[in-house]
Amino acid sequence: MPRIAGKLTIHNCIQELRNKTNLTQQDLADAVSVTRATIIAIEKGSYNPSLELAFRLAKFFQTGVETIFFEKEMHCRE
Amino acid sequence: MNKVIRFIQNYLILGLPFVVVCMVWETIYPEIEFVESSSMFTKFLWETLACNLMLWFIVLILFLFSLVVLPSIREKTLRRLANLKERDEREQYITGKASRAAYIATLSLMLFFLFFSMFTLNIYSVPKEQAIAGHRHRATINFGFSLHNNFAIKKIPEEKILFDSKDISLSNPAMILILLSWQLLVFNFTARKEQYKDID
Repeated sequence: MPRIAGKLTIHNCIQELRNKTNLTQQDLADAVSVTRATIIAIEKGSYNPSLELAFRLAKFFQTGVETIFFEKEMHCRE
Repeated sequence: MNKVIRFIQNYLILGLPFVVVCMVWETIYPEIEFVESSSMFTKFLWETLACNLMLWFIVLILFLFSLVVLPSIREKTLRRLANLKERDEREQYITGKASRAAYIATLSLMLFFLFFSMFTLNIYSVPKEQAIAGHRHRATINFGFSLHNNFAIKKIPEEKILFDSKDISLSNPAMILILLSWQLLVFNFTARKEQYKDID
């Protein structure tokens, strides 16, 4: 069994998805039942959401969790 | 239950000014000076304020007692006082981090106070004839713990005191020790409950 240790840096493309759908941070916050501060923190990468919130975001953007959240820094998939 | 708690809270807040007025009045014009000579209205006002004062203190005692023994009241009341905001998961996470920091900080402070309330350090000089090997300065370190404060209570000889709360007042080290134990107990109990609630 491989041992996975060390800190993982999780990136996300919520800001890109939000801009693409012309949503404000407040709109998205209301849609997934969190505060605007939480959306800001997630976009900045200073807070990693729970699995439940990650799935809620994925459901809202009608995509998979792994499309929004990924380990290596890369461009968001179109 | 919620309505009762809210009513008690509102009464304690709104009744406080009248309690202060009553106390100030009693301090400036002691009851005995005006009760005989004043008008009906003044007497009525005084009686009302005095009744409110008694009721307010009874409610306050009951409320403080309920805060200690009833977790639901504690949660509802102290959440406002402690300014706990848990509108979403990130705020819950922040509350958890802040609680951890506060818990550790309080624990260290209480240990510090416990140590300094039980130990005393004395440095003093003795007369020349008592000096040992020419050393006139001495230092002593003392350790002591008592559960109650040893007050020199002034008791009026002609009045028979049935109960005096000072007789059972806790000493500073005892209070710190109780607080320390209480905090450790509550934290460990809650943490254990949360840790194992999904594991059966």
